[in-house]
Amino acid sequence: MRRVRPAVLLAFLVAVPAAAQSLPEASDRVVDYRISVALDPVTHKLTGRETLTWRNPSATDAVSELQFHLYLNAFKNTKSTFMKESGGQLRGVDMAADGWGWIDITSIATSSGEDLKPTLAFIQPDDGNRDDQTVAVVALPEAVLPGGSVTLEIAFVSKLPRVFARTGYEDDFYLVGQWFPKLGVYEPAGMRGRETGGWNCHQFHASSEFYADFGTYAVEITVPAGYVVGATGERTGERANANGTKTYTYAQADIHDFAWTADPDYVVAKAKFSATEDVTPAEYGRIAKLLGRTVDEVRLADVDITVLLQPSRRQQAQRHIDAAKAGLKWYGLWYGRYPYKTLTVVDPAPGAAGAGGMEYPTFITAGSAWLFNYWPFDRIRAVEEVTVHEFGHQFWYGMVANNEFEEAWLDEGLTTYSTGKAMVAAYGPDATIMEFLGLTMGDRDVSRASNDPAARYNRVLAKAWDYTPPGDYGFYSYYKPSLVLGTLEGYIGEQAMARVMRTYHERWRFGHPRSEDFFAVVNEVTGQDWGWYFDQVIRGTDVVDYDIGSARTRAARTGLGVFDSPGGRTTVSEKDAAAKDDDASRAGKQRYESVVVVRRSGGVRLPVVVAFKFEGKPVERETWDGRGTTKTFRFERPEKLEWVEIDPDRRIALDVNWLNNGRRLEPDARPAASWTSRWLFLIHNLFVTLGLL
Amino acid sequence: MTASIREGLRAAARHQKLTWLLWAWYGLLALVPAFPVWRWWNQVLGASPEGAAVLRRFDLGVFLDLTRTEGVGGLGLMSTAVAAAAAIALVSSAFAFGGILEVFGADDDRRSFMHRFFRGGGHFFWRFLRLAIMAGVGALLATGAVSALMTALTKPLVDSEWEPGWYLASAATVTAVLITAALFLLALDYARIRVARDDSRSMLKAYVSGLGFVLRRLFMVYGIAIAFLAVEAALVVIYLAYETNAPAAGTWPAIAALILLQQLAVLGRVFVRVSMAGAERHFHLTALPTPVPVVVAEPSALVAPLSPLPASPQEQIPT
Repeated sequence: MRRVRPAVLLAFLVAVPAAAQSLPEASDRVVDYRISVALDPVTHKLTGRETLTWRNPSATDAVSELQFHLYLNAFKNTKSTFMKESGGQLRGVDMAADGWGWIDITSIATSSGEDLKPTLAFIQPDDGNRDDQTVAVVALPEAVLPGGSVTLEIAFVSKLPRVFARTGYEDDFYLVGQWFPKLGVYEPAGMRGRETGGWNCHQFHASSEFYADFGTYAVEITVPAGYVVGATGERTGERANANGTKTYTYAQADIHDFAWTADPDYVVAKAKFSATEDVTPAEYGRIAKLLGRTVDEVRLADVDITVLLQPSRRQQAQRHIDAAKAGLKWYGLWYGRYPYKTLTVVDPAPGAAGAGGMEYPTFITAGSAWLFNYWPFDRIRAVEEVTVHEFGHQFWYGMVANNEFEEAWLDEGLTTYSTGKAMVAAYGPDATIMEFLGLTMGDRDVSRASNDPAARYNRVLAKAWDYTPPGDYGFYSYYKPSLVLGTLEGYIGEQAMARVMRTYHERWRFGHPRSEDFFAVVNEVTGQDWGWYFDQVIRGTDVVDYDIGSARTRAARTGLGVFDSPGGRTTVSEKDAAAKDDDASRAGKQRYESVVVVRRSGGVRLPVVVAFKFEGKPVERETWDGRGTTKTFRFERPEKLEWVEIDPDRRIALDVNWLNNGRRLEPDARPAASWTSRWLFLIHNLFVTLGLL
Repeated sequence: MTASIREGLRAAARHQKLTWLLWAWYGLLALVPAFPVWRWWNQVLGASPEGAAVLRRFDLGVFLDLTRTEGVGGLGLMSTAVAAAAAIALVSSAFAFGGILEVFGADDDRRSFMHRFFRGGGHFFWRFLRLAIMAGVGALLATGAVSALMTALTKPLVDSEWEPGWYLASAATVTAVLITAALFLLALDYARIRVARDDSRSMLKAYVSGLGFVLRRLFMVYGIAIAFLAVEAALVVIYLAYETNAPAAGTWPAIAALILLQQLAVLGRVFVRVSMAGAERHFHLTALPTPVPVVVAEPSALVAPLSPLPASPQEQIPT
């Protein structure tokens, strides 16, 4: 463990403003997908053709094979890695008994006609599970030279599952995600710390999400007439076909995935996010100052918003739109202008909740319920929270495309942290989640609720499928990293943290960063080495918990016994001492000895501020660097100690227990009385009901 | 119906000590699980500056810190204490109703209220307890059957794509189950009234008779019950409105006001329930002025007595 530098102890570090960077306008377009697909709503199958062009990004490696993700094969049978790990359940939804899904590549050839199908083989780079078919490799007849490219023609059939794990159908509702043969990422030596170049193409695990290269997509979607379609990107055309179907075309550059939806029942709501009307000049000015940028550098762009709603929830259209606008505004201001022209928000059908709460480039799925149309349930901000959260992913997973298999926290954790801040900015601090019959719950409550004191067995930085138990993925990928960032902000301040996040996003927009890249930005912007911090809270397993071991204050007594002084030796008897103490007390010159023991009960060592309040005096602060497990503070002064509190400003969001952070020397019975009265009332009512049945 | 409701309210008002006694008894019982909880919470929240957050609003973080780390065992103790006291409350309902009905029925008895109450409670306790068990078993079986039936009937609605259908189906099932449960509980009330009136000893017959009474007068019986339940619901709404809109109970005067309001609400509920018992009793008296006695069958006088059989040789008394 590295030494904690004293300069870090106080939250007024001088942040070194990172050099302003312009936002990248385009990605390094490694892939080009041209896909045409037709949906058969009777068999729930997609029949597709894909023209895929891949450019070798390496400067040195000739690549002789291509590795593909075939994600839908995770739902083919119970033997896949995904189904084994999930036990057939994900996000509270069970796999339907008749709901299997799969994807078959029916033909694959080079653009010059060489058949590659005989070379196609399934591989299992993560767990060797021979029954898992979510990664396939094809051998190329000729290696693709550095900088060179290859074009393949692929025909495939995808059978969609009953909605499970984000994708599938329910009656005539379709959410189509991870539905086409998708290339993995070829990482040259040096990229993401690799020593040698190679494919990064993991199997589909229950707890993993996705990783792919940026490129361009042009997709034709043919569905029966009468279906309302939404998709990633901009709609570039539509035509009616003679056979009673309709074809919609979409295109988008600088993305790494493509999803779409179709449902004849959708109600369509459209809105426009206006960079001039939805953001005030004062807001531009404030954020520009916060980030140390010019107003022009933080200016946003207009975006067309489309919301596809279930008919029974049409009343909630404006809530979705407002939440989307809040995301466009705040994330855009803080991290960088949203670069795309469109955003589609999908409200999945009832019974298709498994398709909700997911992100794809320019396309997100939210989720709601009919009950939220009406008071008092409309005061629960589930709709807003999920929309703001999923949109937040656009800025992390979407544009700063880290490898979600290997470092899920870099997307989920940053998005969770960002969501909290955006919700507070849009809806206020105490009621971002709900205001319901007098109960309020804000983002801070959720963070505290999610901070699990028993979570001491996993690291944040781990492969998505390595958490034990698997359910811990949620805490270690979403909540703990969010608390890590909140605590970091507590130490470095709001301005420095804003500049860290902006710099990281700008530098890695359209890139593939890893954790070390984020840490490097933190160090650069703050001018401090934060390795000691991240080593403990991202790479380590322990928790943060400081508490007051003991606190006492008592009248200082005159000493008894024999004392030597320049004037000679004197003996102070108990009677003399008592008399002196009485005199002092009567003269108002009583002094008090106060002793406080502060303890570090958790394994993580962080510098803390300890606040002391003496009678009639303003609050005083001391610091402790957290070395050792206890620190004793002693005072002798005319005032009694009233209370002591560790981290009084609540900067250390990671602390698993705030209740033990402080001690009053004169207890306050009001909190217990207030709560106990309600508890007593509840029980009294229960007994009256039972006793007078 | 209105006459019975009026009479019930008058009876409860005339015998206010019933309300006070029952309020106090269940309040005392409630203190059993409340006191250790208060001690636990006071020890933790009182000493922690963070605890003051709850004086402003319900703080989920404080609650979780309290239950996850500061006394995990406290939750177990709380649940056990609540369960034990709830069992006592349930059993004591048999005693309470015996007391209520005895007090209502002994207006001309000059003995003290407490004497009458405890006399009735003790006299009818075991019989009312047996009636309550019958009602409980019956209600459980009937609500199970109704729930299964409603689930089958509403399945098309649940399976349809119309989302409100699911909520309507659930509401319909819950309503049917509640009406069914109410039927068995109301039958219990009328069976108790009948037993108190004619001191009958066959509880099965008394309960079946109670069921029959309710089924023959559904509108009136449910009407009386709904009227009183509406008042109870209003009390709950008033309390919730206060909790929602009043400033958080952060000062001692505000806490005292909250406690006062809470206890007034409970007192109100007890008064309403006692009134409902009075109204039901009045309705029973009105509907059945002279209760049909539960007669144990006796041999008919018209049947000729059997001739005595000749004694067997062994039984003949030797002369």
